Amino acid sequence: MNRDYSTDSQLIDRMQTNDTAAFEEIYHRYWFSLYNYCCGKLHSQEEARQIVKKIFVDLWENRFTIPVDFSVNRHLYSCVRSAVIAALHHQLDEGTAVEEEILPTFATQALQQARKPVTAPVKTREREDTVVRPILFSLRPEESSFGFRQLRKALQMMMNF
Amino acid sequence: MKKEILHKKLSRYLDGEAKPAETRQIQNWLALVDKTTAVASEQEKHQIGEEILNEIKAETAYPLLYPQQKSWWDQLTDRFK
Repeated sequence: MNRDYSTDSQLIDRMQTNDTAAFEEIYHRYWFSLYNYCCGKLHSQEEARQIVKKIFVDLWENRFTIPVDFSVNRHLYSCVRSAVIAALHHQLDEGTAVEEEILPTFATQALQQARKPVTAPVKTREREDTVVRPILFSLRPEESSFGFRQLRKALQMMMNF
Repeated sequence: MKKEILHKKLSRYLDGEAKPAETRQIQNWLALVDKTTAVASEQEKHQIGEEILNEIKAETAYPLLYPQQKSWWDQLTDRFK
């Protein structure tokens, strides 16, 4: 598969001109995270497949009614959340064995996890390698104005710390 | 939580009649990140992805209705094959 580096909005524009390659690129970008999310929530690969399929079929079929300021990312995640709730409701209706896996995740203690910040704190060593060092080395010696010297000193202190 | 209670809460949520606390509980559950991954290997991931895409193609029939145009580069390289 050839990679297409167009942005999502460019792909949507192309999709509206019936460009199926653009649609497939959007599919390849998002299908797995949607599928993984559904599997994690519903503990059923078959349900996850059906949900992902339906979301993309709907995206293709409704491509001409997509609004101007459309965010694919937001749209897909909003769809998958609604679909997961509907599927869970259906599972409870059908009486399939969801109690053991899903019901404990609704407990208050389990839901406390959702309130924690999503981003993991960057470790000091990683921060030094990814943030401080590149800035320090990007400062050339000839840039020896007072501001640069102060910044260099501060960065060196951070690295030593 | 009991199954019946959850079923009622989900029904109300789907009908847009859930209480704020119920909505918050369901949205917290949706926001909860599961660390498990659904596939064992990259090969399996690729296979599942292709299978779902084929099902989408079968349902929408877009490859028949809108066949993909080959790029000028692909057309050129095809001549030398």
